[in-house]
Amino acid sequence: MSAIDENSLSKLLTNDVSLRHVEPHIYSVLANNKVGNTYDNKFGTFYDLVACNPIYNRLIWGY
Amino acid sequence: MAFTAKTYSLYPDRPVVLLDQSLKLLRIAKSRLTKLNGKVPDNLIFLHADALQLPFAPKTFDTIISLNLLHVLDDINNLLNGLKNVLTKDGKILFTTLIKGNRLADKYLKVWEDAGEVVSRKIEELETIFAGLGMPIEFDINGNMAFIHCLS
Repeated sequence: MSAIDENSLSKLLTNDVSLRHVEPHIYSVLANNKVGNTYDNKFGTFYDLVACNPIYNRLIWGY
Repeated sequence: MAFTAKTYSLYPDRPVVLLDQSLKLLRIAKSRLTKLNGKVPDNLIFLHADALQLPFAPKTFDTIISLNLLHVLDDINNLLNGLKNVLTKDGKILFTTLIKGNRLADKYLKVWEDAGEVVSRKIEELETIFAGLGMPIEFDINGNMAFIHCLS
């Protein structure tokens, strides 16, 4: 097992980056007040339900 | 992570940073891994960051896998240069991306492109862009999906 934690993640970053703990196992280098991206709204739910569905991908995109 | 959670769970022998600009998608990924393993494997960590402004020191990663990102970017040069910067000398970069595939689904891809959600390219266009950055590629195509392996 090759574990990675906050300390080892910090060592991978450039010196000017500030690492923020969001919740267990999730960290952020983006500002807390940054507007979320498109996938943070309902589109993210659609994306996960549809675009991440193997049947959809097989039928539409052929893989 | 919808297609890869099980695979990640099978290979605990190297640390993996899973990056996305969406906290919502990171939480969904975390949930999938937790359902599979009962917890997030100790070798995996999630990072909320912008792939176009990678926060990593140069030459950090031996392997980079970019899943379905190329086809949502108008200009992929910035991404590719950023990825090259954080890759070790003999590292590998792999991509998946939707492409025009001379299939009926190309029309559906165009609908998403017109909506501003994707940028559809032929594999030859991608080859030219990669080559221009000194990144020759090999690829497999399955339907409208290209699986790309950078050779340098």
